[in-house]
Amino acid sequence: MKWELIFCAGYIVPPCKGLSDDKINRAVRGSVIAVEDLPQDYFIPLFRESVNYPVGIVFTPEDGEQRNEVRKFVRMLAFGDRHTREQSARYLACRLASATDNRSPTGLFMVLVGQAEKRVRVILWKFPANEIIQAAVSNEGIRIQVLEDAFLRDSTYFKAAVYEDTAGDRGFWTGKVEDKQAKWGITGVSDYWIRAFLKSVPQLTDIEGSRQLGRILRELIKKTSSLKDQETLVDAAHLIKSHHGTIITLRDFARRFLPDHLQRGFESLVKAKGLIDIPFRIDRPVLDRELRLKSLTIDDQFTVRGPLDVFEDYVQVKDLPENKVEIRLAGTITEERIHAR
Amino acid sequence: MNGLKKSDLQKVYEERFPKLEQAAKELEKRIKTCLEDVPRIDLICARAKSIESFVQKATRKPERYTDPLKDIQDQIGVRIVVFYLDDVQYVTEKVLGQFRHIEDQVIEQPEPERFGYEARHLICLLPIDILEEYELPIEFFELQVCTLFQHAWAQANHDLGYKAKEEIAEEERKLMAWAAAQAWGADRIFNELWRMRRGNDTLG
Repeated sequence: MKWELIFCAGYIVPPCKGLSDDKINRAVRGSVIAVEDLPQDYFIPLFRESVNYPVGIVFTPEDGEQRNEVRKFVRMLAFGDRHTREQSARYLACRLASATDNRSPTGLFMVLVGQAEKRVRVILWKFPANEIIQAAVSNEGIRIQVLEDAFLRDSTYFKAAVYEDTAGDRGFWTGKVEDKQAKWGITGVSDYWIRAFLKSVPQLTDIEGSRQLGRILRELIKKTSSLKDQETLVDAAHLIKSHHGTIITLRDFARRFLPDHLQRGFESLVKAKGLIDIPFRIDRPVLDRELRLKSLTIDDQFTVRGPLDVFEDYVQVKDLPENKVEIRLAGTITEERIHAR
Repeated sequence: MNGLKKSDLQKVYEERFPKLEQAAKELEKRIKTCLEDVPRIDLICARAKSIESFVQKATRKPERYTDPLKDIQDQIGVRIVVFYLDDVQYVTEKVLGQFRHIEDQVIEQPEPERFGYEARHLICLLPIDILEEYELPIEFFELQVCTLFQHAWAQANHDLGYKAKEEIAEEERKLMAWAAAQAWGADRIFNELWRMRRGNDTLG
């Protein structure tokens, strides 16, 4: 598909959280930028790479109905005329300013719209102003200049959201975001960029994220033959349970809690590429449920312990007279040890 | 209707239908696991919309769906049937803990003296791993949560083929409304009885 850039606008966005609409409107300065005046060498690769943004998001409904204010303006950017697009870009710039508090510096908000056959792509960026991209606002509008430094270009910091769809009424509900300013992937700023500005939520719920984490750990423990690695995984599982409420992604978990060789095994068990970088809050009860172990002790001396979901596949208990049982454990011995009593 | 002829629309939907069926089966499994500890659930079933039903819906009101292959959001549908009215809210909250949604509507009759179809309808985002595994060309599924009586009325209404009001004789409409009123009343009475029995116990 050959993409054609059809609309661009840029605005200087200072932090305006708590200010009146009127003050915000006066503080946000910028205009439409003619596509041919855009530094194409810089923006065309950024436009192309936007499909790889890692975090899936979805707009939240209003009053239970399929309505969302930000989605409405994103669709107007996609399908409106020049005037409607300009109004929508400005609305979103003001919305971003009103969601930005003094902890964030003034930034450059940019909107770029491209079209290929029936598909339209809308990208929203926030760059730190006056770093790699320099913006100057005059009576004639905003002018964008990119500093010619390859090293700087590679280390560009920005927050971004991309939406791509066709013209149907029910489209443009999902998008993807990137945050190249966050220390730990996207987790640190999800509330400000995703929830407050984009009126969206990550595609993964806390419960589903925790369920996926528990499932992967359980499968990895089952697949791992080394007792030492199994112990490392069980320790990591216990440790992560104590982080109830912490925001994390599956990739963050692997990097922060597992040694290199187990990280690869963990990441290979993530069922979908789109799951690995979506932030969610650790839900301890869900993890407890997913990682349940069952143990059976007889005569206070012998214990059999294993994952609840496969326990009965390995351990058969037959009732005998006088309250006794016979236990049959079937499988392959993977390690045998003698311990001091 | 996106410029597609009825036959082309049918062909495209036929091609995607097997994927939808597999995804529906997986989704049903997922929802059953999510609700495994929840009592008083009579039925959880997911289905892919039949080819006939899809084409009928897309062509009956073409102005409503500019791109039916995308705009019709119940290509995968899930129904959860619970015992009592209070269970509808409880089960809905449980499911919403697991799936993102873009719509959550209580479907009820607009005027107090009218009786008919009632249920809780949600449009939810399909889980990313299911979307990727089956390479689905859609993003959403419809979830209906209703009571046994609401379900019974809806099933009979569907079986009798009542879709468009204008095609139904007045006498038949009255009879269906009367049956709906009975179901409405039965739901309230059983819910009341359940509340009396339950006392302060929690729903789950």
